[in-house]
This record gives sequence, C-alpha cells and structure tokens, in this order.
Amino acid sequence: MKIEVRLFATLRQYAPGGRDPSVMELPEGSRVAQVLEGLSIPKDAAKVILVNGRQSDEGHLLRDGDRIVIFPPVAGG
Amino acid sequence: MYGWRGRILRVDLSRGEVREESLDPQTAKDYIGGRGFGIRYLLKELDPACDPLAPENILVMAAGPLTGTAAPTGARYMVTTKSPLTGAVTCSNSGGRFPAELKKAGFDMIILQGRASEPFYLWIDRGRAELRPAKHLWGRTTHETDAALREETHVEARTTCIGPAGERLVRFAAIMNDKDRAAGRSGVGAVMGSKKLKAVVVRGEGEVPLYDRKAFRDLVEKLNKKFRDSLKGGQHPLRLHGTAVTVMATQNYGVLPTRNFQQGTFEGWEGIHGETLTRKFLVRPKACFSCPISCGRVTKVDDPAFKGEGEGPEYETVYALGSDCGVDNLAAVTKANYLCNELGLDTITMGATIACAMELSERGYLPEADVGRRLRFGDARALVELTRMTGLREGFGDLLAEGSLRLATRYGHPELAMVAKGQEFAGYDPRGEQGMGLAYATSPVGASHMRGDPAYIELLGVPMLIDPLSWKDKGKLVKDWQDVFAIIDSAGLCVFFTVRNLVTPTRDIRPQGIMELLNAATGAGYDLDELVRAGERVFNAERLFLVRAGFNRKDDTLPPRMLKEPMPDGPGKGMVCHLEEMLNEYYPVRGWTPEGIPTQEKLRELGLA
Repeated sequence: MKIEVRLFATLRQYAPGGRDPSVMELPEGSRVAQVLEGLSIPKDAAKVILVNGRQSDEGHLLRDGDRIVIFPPVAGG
Repeated sequence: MYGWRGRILRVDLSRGEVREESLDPQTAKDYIGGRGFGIRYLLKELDPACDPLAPENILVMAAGPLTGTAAPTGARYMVTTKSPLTGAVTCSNSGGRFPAELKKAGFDMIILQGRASEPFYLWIDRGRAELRPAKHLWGRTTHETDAALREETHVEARTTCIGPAGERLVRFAAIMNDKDRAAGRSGVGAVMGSKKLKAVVVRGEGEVPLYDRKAFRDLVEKLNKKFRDSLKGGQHPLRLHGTAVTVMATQNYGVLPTRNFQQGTFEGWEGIHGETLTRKFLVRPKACFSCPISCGRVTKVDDPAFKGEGEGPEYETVYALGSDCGVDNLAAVTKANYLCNELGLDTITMGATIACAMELSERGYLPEADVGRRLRFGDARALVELTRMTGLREGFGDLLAEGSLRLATRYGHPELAMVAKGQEFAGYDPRGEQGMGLAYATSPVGASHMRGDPAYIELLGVPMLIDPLSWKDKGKLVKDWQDVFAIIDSAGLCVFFTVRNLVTPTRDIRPQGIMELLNAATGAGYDLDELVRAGERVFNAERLFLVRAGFNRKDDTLPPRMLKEPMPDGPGKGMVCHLEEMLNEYYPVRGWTPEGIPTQEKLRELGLA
C-alpha cells in the first residue's frame, strides 16, 4: 500500500532522498512504527504524529492512501 | 526589595506631574508583577464603567520580578488598561529590550493617567523621570520616533511608543517597543494616544538586585543547559523558522482560519508557512532580552510591489493577514506586517477586520462605492493598501479602524465578525479545537491565544497531547492553563520557554520551575499552592473588573458560525464548538455561579472580597 509522508521543521532532514512530500510503499498491516523506522527517525526524538489530521502513535494500523504528518513539538504564537 | 525594584512612577498627564510611589511588599507577593500589578491598580483606582478614551482611564505598564534578570526569557512587560475595542479590561504583552531596561532604571511599573493638552514623552534616565514636549514627533512612524528619541536622549536608550494609528485612536492601535515588538492587542495604543503621550524612553544601568545570587545563577545555568541538551546539537524549530512554522500544524489539523473562518484549511498554506519565510525573506533570527530561543524574524522583501525591511511576520500575523484574507502571497503579508509595525497597529485585528470586510463585500452587504474598490478574498494589493489607510484613518480605513464587530454591525451583519467580547480570534478555529473555543469565550480580554492557550496541549504536544476534537474535561484544563498563564505573564517570562521548561509536564502544569526562580530572585518564599493561588487571584481579579463593567455569561460566547455552522472541511469536518457543555463544566471548577459571577466564597478565599 501507498502512504503519503510529510515531515516538517527539524524533522525534514529525515525525508527520503530529501523529497517532501514523499510516498512510501509498505506491506499491508504496517503500523506507524514501520514508517518511523523506514525514515530512520530516532526513537527518542520528540514528535507529534498525525494520520489524516488525527493524533496518532506508533501502534496505529495504517491503510492504503493514509497521509502521515510528523513535526517536532513547537510552542508558537 | 529584591527582584522587584519597589518603585512606581505615577504620571499625571493632565497636570504634567511625575511622582514616585513605593510598592507594598505584600501586594507584590500577592499579585507577583506585570499582569497582576496591572489589574490590582485598575481594580483599586478605575471606575469599570468609564469611557476607555476619556482622561479617567488609567494605563499601567508593568514589568515582573524576573524581567531584566538572567532568567531565560525574562524580557516581558504588560500593558493593562480598559480597552476601547472591547470595553473590558485588557492586558497586552511584549518582550524586546525596553521592559528589561525599565527594571534596570529602577522601576517596576508606570501608571499613566489624565490627558495632556499637547503631546509629551516620558524620559526616564537611571532613576529620574521627566515629561518632555513631543510635538515634533506627533505624526511620525514608530521607527522614526525610535530613532529621533534615541538621538535626543541617549543612543542606548530603549523606547516604547505609538505610531499614527494610536494618535488617531484606531481601536486596535498597538504600543510598539524597540521598533518592532508589540503590546499589540485591544487598542492599548489608542488609550496612550488619547492621553497625548507619544513615547516612553528609558535608560538604565547595572543589574536587578537578587535575593540569592548564587542560587539564582545555579538555576539559570541548569535551565540553559537543559535547553541546550534538548536541541541535541540542532536548532530550535522556532529559531529555525519562527512562529509561522505553526502553519503546518494548524493546516494539518484543519484549524487554520481561512476566508474569515469559512474554512479550516487553506489551499495556499505553503505560501505563508514559516519554512517559506525562511527560504524567501529571512535575514536573521532575533532574540529578546535573556532569550535562548530567538523566534524573532529580521526580514527583507525585494519584490518591487511589496518592497520593505523590518521584522515579522509571526504565526498570528500570517493567519490574519494571510489565510484569513485568502492571501497566499507572503511578500504582501510581510509588507502589511511592516506597515502595522510602523503605523502601530495590531496585526491580528487588522487582518481579521479586512477578512470580515471581504466577506461582507462578497456577500453583497458592503457596497463597492464605500470601499472605493471591488473587494474580494485573495486580493494582496487591497490587503496592503487597506492596512495603510486604516493606520491613517483614510477613506474606508476610517471604518476598518473601528474593528470587525463595529464594521459588520454597521452593515447589518454582526454575526460575520469573528470575535469574542468584541476582540478578533487568534489563528485557531474553535470547531476543530474545542478547548480553544472555551479559552476565547472566557478570556477576560476577549478572544486571545495568550490568556491560557490550549493549542499547546491540543495541537502542539507541549507538554503532552490531548484530542482537540473532544470537549469533555476541557473546563478544568482551560482553567488550569489560564491560571498558569496569569503567573507567567505576571512574573515577566515568555510563554514559549516557560511551558516547556518551567512547569510540570502534567495536565495541570504546576509552576514548579517558576516558583524556584521567583524565590531565588525575590526571597518572597512562595510555596507552590501560594503561587498557584496568585495566578487564580489575578484571573479572578480581571473577572471581577468585567463583572463590575456589566459582563456576565451572555458575553462568554462565540459567533453563530462557531456554534451552529458545521466545519466544512478537514479533520474537524462536521464539527461545531460545544461551548455550552464546556461552560457548564468550567464555571463550577472556577467557583463561579452559573451566570459566570465569582462567588463571595471564592473571592474571600483569594482575598478579593
């Protein structure tokens, strides 16, 4: 299945081949954790993960066409 | 005293008098400083029913005990007065260098009252203060005024001043310090203009005396190390891209206000995103006094149509002048921001009022002849031109200068003003972020992202994440955030550092780190409950002022678009803001009646009865 991935700010450096947005091919039944591993985002990097605009976490089961957005916690205004 | 300087300047513009008063130590401890001092003096001295632009109104500029110290982000002061935009109390906050300089000059606060017959400025030179004629500065921009005054007084002096908008009593005129930092909201600049005070110029010396210098230095070093370590050799996202980086969050959550809040996502969002700003216009990041973050943006636009140099834009500005007006041209947004800084206007209300005019026009309620042009969402040139006209109250700008509620009411459609208590929303749509709706409705100053900002916890993951679409348990959450913001605003700190590093990473965000800094700086010996109560006292004192000015539950509300029109797009599609449910939880948690009035018991508990 195909998953669209967008990375922002300090996490942009993990975009595959510097491409953003990028599309990842993953086997059916993949979870958010596989995306993070595939992108080599360190486990301890603070991050907010949205799947289709809803807060999510590593255990979330992905479906074809899902859109993942990952950004560092920012405090702005 | 330590931390506090113990001295207050009282300036009576009617009499042309400047005199000194001392700060009572118990008042200092109970109200902390900054925002707390402001409301303390307003409650004591001001008739809540007064006309905000009459000489009777008072305007308080107050720093906190940590302002001007080495405490990370100890840079801020608060301007408190009765607002000509809302008729409620307002407190408008700013950083930069001026507030720290005021402390170094030996003062915690300035109380301005009366009205002069012609323009003056206040010159504070290392502990002494005098009023000086400012006729030669009237009509000048904030940048021109800053340069002229530093030449006239001292090159290292710091200024806070109004521009042409404040002189012309634009209802959302700002007070600009250090050229480009704004005490922006609710028309504090119009109140200063009504008093015919053009500027305050200050030069200090030495350091703010501290109670336990060693303990304070150890705390600061520990905090700065923790901050550096958290970066892991990289850059803070706000230093990298400024606060406008928040666009990627609000767009993806579907709460980026677009076309006067008709949508929650903006197809042109990448045009106004912080990363785009970095790529196109950033010259360098800029920090306020004692700040390790540097979220400020020194920028330059070369596009001949929108050429300029200055600072900004911030997130709230790119929402208001950008997506809310349907404008994705960042050069135009930045140019309009420069004009706001130079003329002395609040960028949020400016953008939101133009957005309101655009919707009125598109729906056929606002005649083209009144505007002098065909007004449509997305018109970048109109955005810049209308901003300029508003600051000078020229033509249609004279109507925009009244803010969106008065504009929309004039044309028969007050429901199209996206306001709470008459003040325009910040850059978050409450249908997709429920807690923010409650924060807008119950903020004492009208809609604001800075009087308790649930976006940190609902959107940004600071210090943790909770679901923005849920309205359950948001009453307690918003109350706790409002009270901790009252502490931050009173201590003289900036929210950006504090919510990450000086409060516990729990839902009730206890102000442990703030307390440690306050105790080392002042020797006041706060315990955690006392400090939490001080925050609650400040928030309730503001509410008491509102109640005395005639506000109650009916005013804790949002426009029908938020309460009845389902969100048309994005992850919050189909949602409305469940305000009533949240208010029903919020008032009891506050110790207020179902009408939104603090009970006698609550007031006694806080020493406000």
